[in-house]
Amino acid sequence: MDNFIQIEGISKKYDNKYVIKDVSMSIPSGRIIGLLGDNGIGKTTLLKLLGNLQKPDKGEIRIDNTPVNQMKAKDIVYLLEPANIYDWMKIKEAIAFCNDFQADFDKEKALRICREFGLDPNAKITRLSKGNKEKVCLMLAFSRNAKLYLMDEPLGGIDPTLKKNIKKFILENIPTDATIIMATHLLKDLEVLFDQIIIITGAGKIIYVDTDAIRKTRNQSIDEYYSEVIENAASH
Amino acid sequence: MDFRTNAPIYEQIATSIKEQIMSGSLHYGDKLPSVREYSLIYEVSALTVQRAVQQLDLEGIIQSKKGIGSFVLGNCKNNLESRMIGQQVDEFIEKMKKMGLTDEFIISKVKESLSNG
Repeated sequence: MDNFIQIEGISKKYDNKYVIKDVSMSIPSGRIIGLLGDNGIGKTTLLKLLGNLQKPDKGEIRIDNTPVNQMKAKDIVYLLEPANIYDWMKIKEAIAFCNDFQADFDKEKALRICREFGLDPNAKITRLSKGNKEKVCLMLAFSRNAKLYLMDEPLGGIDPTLKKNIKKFILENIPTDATIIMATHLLKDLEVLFDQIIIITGAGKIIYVDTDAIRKTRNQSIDEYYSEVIENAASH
Repeated sequence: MDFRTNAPIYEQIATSIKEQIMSGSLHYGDKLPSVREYSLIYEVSALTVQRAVQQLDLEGIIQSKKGIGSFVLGNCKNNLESRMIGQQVDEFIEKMKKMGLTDEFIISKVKESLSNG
């Protein structure tokens, strides 16, 4: 579908400063999208607007033709920084909890991913390292079969082995018709995976482009293109 | 596969599949792996694979049948060989001409190299 996510004229201000200003765009389904921009520029805000965790000051977001504030939570997976809400649980309890409350949760898949990640289901989440907490979050998110995955820096504390296999892990574990929007600083590692990128350049502006189209027309890597865009934005 | 990140990924995948046909690891009539299988082999999105397959289809190298899969077409090995060789030769000549060499000089050098075996 060509307009799975329809963003119409949205604006969001903080302290009288625009994070997003009059932005309209259509995002098709089945895309893997990198969300890029400097720290604090508004990546998390955009993800929260898409996940209905914040409301725009102006404009509307529709997902699959439904206004985002009427979406059922089950259709959107929102993966924040290591979740503290499961902190008092053992991994297997968190899995049982998600399995009870999320209709699209696949318990078998969760246990398989635990094995792949070397996570002991009997371990208490609070005692895990940052990297392993992150793996728990990835495991819980990727054990669902949703249409939209919103991910905010899911790979910040990732270990080198998982980093090497992360593309395969993502591709193996999400439905091909799902859309992923992932805020990340690991552009060099992930640029080949991204079909498209969204760059938040500051002062409310957003660039949304197809990665292979950039490579074809500019003979540039996405990493080079991104650096150029950020430099230009800074000089204006 | 290591991709060059400054050229379209789907074109590099299309080239890789063409090379497999030329080297004989894919034959006339063979069914290509599915989009999902290729996606895991190359570690790229399904969309990128679809674009690569679409390009091969447009070039007449494979035929995609909806709901069934994609198949290597007959004669495409010969076509591919002449096309890819042509491309290599064109690139070589372009480089030589950029160096300011004349056609005669290039031809004589190629002949010399060939006769030296």
